Amino acid sequence: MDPDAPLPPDAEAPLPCAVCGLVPDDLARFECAECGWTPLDGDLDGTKLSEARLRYDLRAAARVGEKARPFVRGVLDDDQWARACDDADRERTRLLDEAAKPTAAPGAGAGGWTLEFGRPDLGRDPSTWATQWAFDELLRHDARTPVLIDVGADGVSVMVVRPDAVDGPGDPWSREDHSWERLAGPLLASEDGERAFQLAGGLHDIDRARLTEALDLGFARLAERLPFGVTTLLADSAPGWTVPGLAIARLRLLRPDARLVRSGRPAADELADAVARLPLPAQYWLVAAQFEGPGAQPVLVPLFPAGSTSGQEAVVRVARGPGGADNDVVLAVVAAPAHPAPSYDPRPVSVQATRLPRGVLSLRARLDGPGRVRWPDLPDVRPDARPLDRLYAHTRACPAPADVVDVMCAIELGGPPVPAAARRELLAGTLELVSADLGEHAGVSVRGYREHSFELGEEHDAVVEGVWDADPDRALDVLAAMERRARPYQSDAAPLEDALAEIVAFLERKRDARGWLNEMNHPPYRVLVVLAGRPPHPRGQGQDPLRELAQPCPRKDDWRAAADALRRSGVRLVTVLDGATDPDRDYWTALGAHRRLTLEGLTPRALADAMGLVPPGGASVPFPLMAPVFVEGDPA
Amino acid sequence: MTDPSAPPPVPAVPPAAPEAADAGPPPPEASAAPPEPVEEVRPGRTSIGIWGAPASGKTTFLAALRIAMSLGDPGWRLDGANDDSTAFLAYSTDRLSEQRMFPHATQSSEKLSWRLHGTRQVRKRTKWYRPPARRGVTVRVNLDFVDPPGRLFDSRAGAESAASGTGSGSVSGSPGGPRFATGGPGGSSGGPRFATGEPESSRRGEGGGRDRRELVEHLAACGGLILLLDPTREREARDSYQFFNRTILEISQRAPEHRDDHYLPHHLAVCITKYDHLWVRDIARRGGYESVTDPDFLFPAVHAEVAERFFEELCRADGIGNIDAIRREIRQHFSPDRTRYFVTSAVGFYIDPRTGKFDDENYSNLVRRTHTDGSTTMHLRGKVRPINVMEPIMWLVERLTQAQAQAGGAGGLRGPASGSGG
Repeated sequence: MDPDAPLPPDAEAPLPCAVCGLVPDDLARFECAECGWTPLDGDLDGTKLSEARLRYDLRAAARVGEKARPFVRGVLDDDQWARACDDADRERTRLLDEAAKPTAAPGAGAGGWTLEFGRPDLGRDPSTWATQWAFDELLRHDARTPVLIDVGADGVSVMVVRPDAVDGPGDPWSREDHSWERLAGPLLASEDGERAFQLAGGLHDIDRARLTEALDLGFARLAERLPFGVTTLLADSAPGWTVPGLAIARLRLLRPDARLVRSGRPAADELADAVARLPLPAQYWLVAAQFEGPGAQPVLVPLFPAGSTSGQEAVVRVARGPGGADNDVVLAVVAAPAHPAPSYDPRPVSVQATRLPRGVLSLRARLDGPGRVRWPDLPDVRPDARPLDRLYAHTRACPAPADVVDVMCAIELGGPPVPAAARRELLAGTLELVSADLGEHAGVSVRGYREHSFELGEEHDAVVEGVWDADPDRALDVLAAMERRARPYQSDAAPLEDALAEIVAFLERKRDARGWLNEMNHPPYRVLVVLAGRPPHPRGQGQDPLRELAQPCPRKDDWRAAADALRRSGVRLVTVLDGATDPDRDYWTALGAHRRLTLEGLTPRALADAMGLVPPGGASVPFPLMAPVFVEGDPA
Repeated sequence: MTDPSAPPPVPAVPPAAPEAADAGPPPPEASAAPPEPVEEVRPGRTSIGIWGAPASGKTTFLAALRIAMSLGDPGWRLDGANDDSTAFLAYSTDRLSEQRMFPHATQSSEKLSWRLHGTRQVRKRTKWYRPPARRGVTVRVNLDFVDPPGRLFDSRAGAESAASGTGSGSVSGSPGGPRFATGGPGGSSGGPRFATGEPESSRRGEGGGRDRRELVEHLAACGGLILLLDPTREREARDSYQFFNRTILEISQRAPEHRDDHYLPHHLAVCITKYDHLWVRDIARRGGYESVTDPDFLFPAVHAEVAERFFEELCRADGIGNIDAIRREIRQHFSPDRTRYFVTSAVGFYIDPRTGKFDDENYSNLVRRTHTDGSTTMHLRGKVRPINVMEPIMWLVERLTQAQAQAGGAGGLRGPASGSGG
């Protein structure tokens, strides 16, 4: 209230204090009960009044900081401001220290509060220990739902705590924020700096009675919605501020049994820290996947036993499953008893998505408290909102890959340069996928074929190069090393039949090595992909009437015989043809018996899908595979 | 033999290409020697004209002739009559046998002339009570090869040659295709003279003018004609009859009457080319027309005795083209007694050097090669082993000399200096 404003209509009403604006009651008309200002008859020039106003405003503004400085009445120099800020800090420290003393907490040791379970972070300032204990005990009070009311610079936050949900994926409390604007209405300024100045004590133009009335009204409505008879903790996170202090006083009238704590931080942070200090109420498990029978099954891998506390670490050995090369892997941590009942449904604790590198990994998990599991070795971990039930279903829908896969590739290296380069790129991408998903489970043979030379004396020169039964990375290296120089070619034939004959011979050798009985009882998964633009040379002149000029294979290799042998061997046959190639010719229908694809627009994943190397439809195992544990000396 | 790859046009024969320069003598036009004076000669009854549609294999047929002679009866030899002709012979032989590519079609306006030397066995006249005896008669034949100025037969053969498939036959090296026609060597030689000519495309109306008239008159004056028919080209271009029809009418108009019958007086050797082509050979094989004629490589061939029936089979198999119309025209215009069919291949079959024998599953001697710029060229896989290239010429030589002997009573061939025809 402006002291220079016109007199109120009631001439008998007491005038507000010229310094702080407090309207004195009848018993304190001479000296202001708030700021102690006594009107002086000798202060004719108003100097003392100005000084009093400056002191009053400066104390409030220093509690807030720079943003409140402009609202200080009078001329203020930097030294005064600095001294006032120091005083405010000292006052705040004193208040926090007072709160730390057992005697400063009214009702300490009463009302069921004990220090039995308190494990404060002793690394913090001792003035915070009492506050930490209060929050710890708040969380341990799991019979009811305690209420935390935080009165701070921004308003009043009411948090209904659920101690039984401390290890859930979210915060174990519900929160409702009431800003000062909402509580006090138009009594406070709308501008942030000025409002903070007022809240901290710059109330010279605020009607205290109306402010108190507004707060009482707001708190009464608030209290109506709180659970009745539960433990309440009042947290003063703006110690020394006038309006929050007034609010706490009014709230204590509504909740006389509430315990009061002072905190230099927002109460939510203290509460979160208190949650983090809790020991795990139940064992934590990592959800992994394991192939059993025809499909995958989610399995739980022990991570942290019950009672583990923040800071502990665990290591699990996992590997990403099929489809993990270009899909996220979900690191889901669930809480379940150490010996759960078969129908027990584990509670999700932390569900995060990330990309895993290839191979078996020793993943380090760090416990930051209940519900907080970090993966410090993984750079990019994001929350995953998918429900676990859906992820379990995805896992079970993922068919088990074969233990050992023979991947055979016949690629045409010659011909027009553009599709030749596209074929190489596609095969390289597919092999990278195979390397990523199957790794050492895949034996890859890459056979690149060039052109038959029909020069005299060169007809029988080798035209096929590549690698047999190598790991995918080695096959990739060999493919990359194959010469890219463009050469003249025959437009109507390429020595695909030579590559096929070699592959058939390779299969026969492999079958002999494994043994017929083994082949029959445990047939391996074998797939051949032909990436070509031109058909094979015919076995003999006139074998293909539609290609009168196509030279027969100088080595008399026969693509028909090779295709029959491949079909009899149970090899899955996939062809990838250039866009200009007619896919309905008999050689392509035979060599692409399972799938015939067009090179243009084909992605490595689509090709790997067609080859049966990845789960159909791009399905992937969402959880990491549980890696086998190798025991030294284990004959297996 | 047609080269569907349509090699780049060259200004003259042989082309001024690097490989040609490496291959042997310079092309005629590049020769430093001044052109020899050409004596215009007229063909006579002992001259031979080669006749065929563009890309029917005339150039390659001639180029393969020397190779065939070297591979066959050693009693025959082919020489150039002048520097240009020698260069052309060397070039075309080198192109076929060494570079294993088809010679480009000639565009030279110079007269190219060769001499065919040989010995022909004739029956020696003896007393009736003596056993029959034979004696050798020396034959010297001039082969003249002239491309008339004005591009008499500037047909579309070059453009079409790329799509004409292949087989034994010609190479059309330029958009105009083979553009040579012959003027016979005139009466300077006593033996038959060779002249090659090409009918004008009926689509070109009266193009050619005086030159065309001269060519037709030349062909009409020849005693023998070689008609090259490319059945594979007829499947695709379907223009052989167009080239044949008008020319035969014009020859009929100008040719003299035969004294004994109503047919044209010419002896006609119909050469069905590209026997090495899959389609042609399949018809011969399925119809049982083939027999093994070569004792070394076991080549199959269609004997001349059954070649006409094979030609009829070919006409039936070709349900699209007009070869059967050509056959009817031949029967209508040429006496069966003076007509003989030959199934030829200028490049022959491929022989694997490791086996040295004909392989029924791997016999094509042609390879089409596509280059990185998209262009295509035809190449020969192995050595050139012409099939039935010498035979029509030998048959014509024999028939013409017999006719000349019957007409003049001399019973032999005169030397080049004695002249002929005219």
